[in-house]
Amino acid sequence: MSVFDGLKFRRVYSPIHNLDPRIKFVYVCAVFVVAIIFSEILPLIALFLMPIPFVLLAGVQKEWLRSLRGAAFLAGFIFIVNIASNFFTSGYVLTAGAVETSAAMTLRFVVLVESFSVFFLTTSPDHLGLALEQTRVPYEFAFAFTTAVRFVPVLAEEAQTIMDAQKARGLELEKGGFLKRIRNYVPVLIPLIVSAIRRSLELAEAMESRAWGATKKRTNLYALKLHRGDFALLAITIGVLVVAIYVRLYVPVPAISQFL
Amino acid sequence: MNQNQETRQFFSTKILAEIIVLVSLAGALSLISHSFFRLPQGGSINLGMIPIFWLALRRGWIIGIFAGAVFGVVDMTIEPFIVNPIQFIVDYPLAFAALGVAGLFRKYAVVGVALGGFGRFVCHFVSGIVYFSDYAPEGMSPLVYSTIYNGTYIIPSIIICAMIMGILQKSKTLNIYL
Repeated sequence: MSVFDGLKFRRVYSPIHNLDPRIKFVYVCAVFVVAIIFSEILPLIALFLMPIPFVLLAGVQKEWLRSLRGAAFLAGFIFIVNIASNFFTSGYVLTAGAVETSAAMTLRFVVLVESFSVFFLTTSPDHLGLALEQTRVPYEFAFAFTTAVRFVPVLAEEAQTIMDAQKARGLELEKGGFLKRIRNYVPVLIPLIVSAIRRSLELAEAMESRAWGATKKRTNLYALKLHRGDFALLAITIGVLVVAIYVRLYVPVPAISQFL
Repeated sequence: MNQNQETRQFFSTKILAEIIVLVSLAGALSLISHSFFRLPQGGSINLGMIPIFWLALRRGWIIGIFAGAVFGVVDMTIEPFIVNPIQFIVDYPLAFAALGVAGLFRKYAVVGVALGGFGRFVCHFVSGIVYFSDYAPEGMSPLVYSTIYNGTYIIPSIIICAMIMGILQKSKTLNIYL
């Protein structure tokens, strides 16, 4: 199944993947703040280009392009709505300035979606779980999260197998009216849920045999520590914020339509 | 294993394991439904809510809400769509935690599912207003937009989930291996 291949556990090493997820999150929030305080197109283009070195360094170009495509629909929607409202309120004339503002709004949306998706593309669920744990999220929650993410491809494959098995027995999933089609999913769901519950009993035994919850204070083999790269990213974040606030306060940002 | 008084766990190991496996079943189902029934608007009819409702109706609302919140974070790593820190909290952990409210009506699965689904709709509705107002032009109400956008995919999902949960409750699968 090609759909689930993207989820299969794989350990990736790259300078970006190894960064501390907490620092990466702070960086993404800084990008968010900068994108919100500017509504001119030039700084937004700069913000749009900023994650590209990170993407190339982490080697996730393909996934990045796919998430860009996913955002394209809503981006187009925002562009059209902005253009249209500008067109109707300014007396049915389309100015270059209006097009530019609409493009800037769209670009702001794309920048935000992209910066968050780069965060998820370059952060393994394990790291995310560790970060949750070290930011004092209850351990049960962090553990449930990491383990559940690991189990998703396994259960997806099992669901696929059960669907195939029921089809081989003559269950027609794509036939009949609306009601019939929904009822058709029940023979798939019941075995799935039963086998999931059985699997949970096994998981509980495995957890107990490894002394789950026996000690109050847990320690980790891999603890998140700040390395040189993390401080570098932190410096970049602070630099971006300072420059952005300085430009916002003291430098008038030119619009492209003024040059035309 | 029952004498773990000093560690103060929220859940027993058995229940936690159940939560973990059913949350990943929810993730798997939502992955599968993403590839099967796509809607043109980008949302999808999602069967992923069924395991969460099932757990909430089986073990009560506290566990349902916990499982929903975990599923929210898992769903976020599967298909992140984040444009705003507030929207991120409301759209992922909170919206899915709202599904757990179904556990308040354990006798009437359909009522519980409707209530949980309504809770999720309210969360997505609020987040839609928050994030769309960043891009909305002057004079366009984000209320209408948010209602239409979220309604088109949540309402059919809720109807389907309610029907399936009704059937599952009647066939007494809720109480197996309790």
